Amino acid sequence: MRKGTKMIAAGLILCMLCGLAGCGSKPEDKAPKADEGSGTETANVAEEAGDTQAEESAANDSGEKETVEFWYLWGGDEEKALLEAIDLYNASQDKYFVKGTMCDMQKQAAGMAGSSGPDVTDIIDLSVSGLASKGALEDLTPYIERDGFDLSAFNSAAMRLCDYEGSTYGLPLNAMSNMVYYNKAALEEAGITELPETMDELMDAAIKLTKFDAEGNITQMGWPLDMTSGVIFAHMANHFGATWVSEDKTSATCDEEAMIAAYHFMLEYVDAVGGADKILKFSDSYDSAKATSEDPLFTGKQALRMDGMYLTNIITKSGYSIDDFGVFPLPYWQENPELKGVASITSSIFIMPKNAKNKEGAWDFMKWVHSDEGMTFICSRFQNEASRTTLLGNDELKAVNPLYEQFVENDAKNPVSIFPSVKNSDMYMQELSSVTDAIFRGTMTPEDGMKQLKAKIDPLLK
Amino acid sequence: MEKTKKKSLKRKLRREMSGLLFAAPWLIGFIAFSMVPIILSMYYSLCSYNLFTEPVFVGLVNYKSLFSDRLFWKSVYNTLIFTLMFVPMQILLSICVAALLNFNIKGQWFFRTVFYVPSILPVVAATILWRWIYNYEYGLVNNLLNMLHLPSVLWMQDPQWTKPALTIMGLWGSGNVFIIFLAAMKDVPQMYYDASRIDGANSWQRFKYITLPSITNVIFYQIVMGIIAALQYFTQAYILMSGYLANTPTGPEDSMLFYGMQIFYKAFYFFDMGGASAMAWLLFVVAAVITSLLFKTSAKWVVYGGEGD
Repeated sequence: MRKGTKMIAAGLILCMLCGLAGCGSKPEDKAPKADEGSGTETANVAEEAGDTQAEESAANDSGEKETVEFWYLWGGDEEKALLEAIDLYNASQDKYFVKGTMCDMQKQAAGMAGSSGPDVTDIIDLSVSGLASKGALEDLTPYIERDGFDLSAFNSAAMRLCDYEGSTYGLPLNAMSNMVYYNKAALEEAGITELPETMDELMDAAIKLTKFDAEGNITQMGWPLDMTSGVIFAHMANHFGATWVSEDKTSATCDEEAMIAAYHFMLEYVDAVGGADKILKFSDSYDSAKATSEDPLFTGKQALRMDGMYLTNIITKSGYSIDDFGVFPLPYWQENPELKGVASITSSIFIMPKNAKNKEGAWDFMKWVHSDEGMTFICSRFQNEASRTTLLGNDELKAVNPLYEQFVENDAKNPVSIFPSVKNSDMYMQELSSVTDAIFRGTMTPEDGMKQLKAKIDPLLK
Repeated sequence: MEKTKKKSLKRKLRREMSGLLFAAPWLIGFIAFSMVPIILSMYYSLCSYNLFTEPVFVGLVNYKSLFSDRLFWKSVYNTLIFTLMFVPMQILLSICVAALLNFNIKGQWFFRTVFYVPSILPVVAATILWRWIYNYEYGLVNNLLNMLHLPSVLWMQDPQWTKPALTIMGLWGSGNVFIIFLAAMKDVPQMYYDASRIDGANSWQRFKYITLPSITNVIFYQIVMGIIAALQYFTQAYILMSGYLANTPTGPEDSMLFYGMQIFYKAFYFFDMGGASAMAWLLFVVAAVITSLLFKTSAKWVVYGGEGD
């Protein structure tokens, strides 16, 4: 082989190896970028709020502050608020520098499994038990006990979403419930003067509020909930008193009276309007427009709808008047009066991955985010109900949304976690969705559905 | 004599080394980014592995547990039905469209462009667009059906229609397959057509006895590629069933839970990497078996040949 040929070949290999080495990069080399991880267009947001971070990054390089990697799933306005909160935290102390990066769930999972992931991140409530059972999360109990961090200051149902097998694996940023939005004009037209408090009253109102065209198709939906979604059904089931799992959390209780009653209640409405097809035709036509300016609730096509506090924002941004709408708590099952005031709570939860490099820094940042100051700052900009009960009467939070006080009052009365924090709760929810869909379509009775669900879930809980 | 032999061996070795060295960049990349993950996934399929803790060898437990998993069988069923529906229709439609695009008419370039463009549109944007096209009340498809006095269809909500809906979507985006068949038809020697005209063959006979046999090799290639792609079907179904576009992540009555989606959910929602790897290897075996059966049958009907054969 000629010398020249050897040189060319060796040079090619060297280039390739350099390229391979250059593919990886240390997290601290990267400044927070708007489109990192998910590709969402937030360039302007990060540019404005991240300039301070770039400046402080220079100071960090000199070794003055320890870096804490914070990866978050939020984008848009929420990302801007988070970056401002991070700046606030960084300015408030001299020990840690938090670097915020937006990511998607797959990158988050890969980071938590690999060697260069976040020190602190946020997840949805249903993920805590799944990740904790797999050893992905740091147990925060020792940190909480060491620093005397008061967990009783948080909404109890939101806190339960952070627990798994007696330990605390996260802190809840917010405690959000859903209420039933109603179109005032539609209720007036239907002659409904009293807002429903019980499920029977809700059924009467829902049927009265449902309108049909000449062919029997629904032109105005009276039912407030999606009927094929397991998560939405879980909210309703909680208002029937569903317990989901036994006391010792080793078996599913989905075949209990409350669950069967909840399904039969849903099917009562399906029968009243002429079958599942009618509802599916409506939801297929209008579901994609939800939370947009063409939302069926805004345009008069839906009279009642269960949803979160964020919807008031969309009502006003879409040019409608909030005075045309009202909210009332999702009713309770009258057979169980103890359920009066019950609110099914969901939450965004901050966690510390097991492989976090700077655990003390992550914990310090988490404490600040979940302090009165941090939570007020973030939740006022997110327009979420704060999880700290100490902030119930907070004026800054009340000012962000005209319905804030009503939602917060709803959250505080009789809160229950949307779903139990048990092993394989994510799989429980997936099977629940499939079974709920089948029951709604009439291909399975509630009794058979719950039997099938229990048979599938029981082994997964042990 | 021996010296000459040794010299020629050295020369041969030097040539081999030279070739290997030039191929080395690709080889290193292939080994690092393809072979190693493939071998690791084979190992993980025999382990209980959730990404966050070390894999624990459990033998064939992952494979055994698949056979008692309702969602596994549902995904197999959905994928097979979709494959049987989509692949033959894609081949048939592609041949017909390619034959039409082969006509030498005015504006031929326009028609070729119109049929090809859908295949280069971004998949995500096109899928979200189709969700609106399939809207029950306002969608273009149902409006067209109503104009023909046919009833509207719940494309995305009726389990009987979800796979046909995806099939139509897939056929709309098959421009690249049309072009492949068009190129194959262009490659048929003109002298065959000339000779057949002399013998009095009409256009259908020319198509049936000359064009089709001449492109059987491309038909075979597309069948194999089409089946492999259909067995791995994922993107469009996942986009339609995620987020705000749907309430159930697996579609109405799990009718849109395809094999690829089930692998994805197992791996990235439930972190069951062992189970997901086992499913991936099963898919590989099935695809390999189907492909080798197709190759065995191809001798009976595939014609390979060019000019003068």
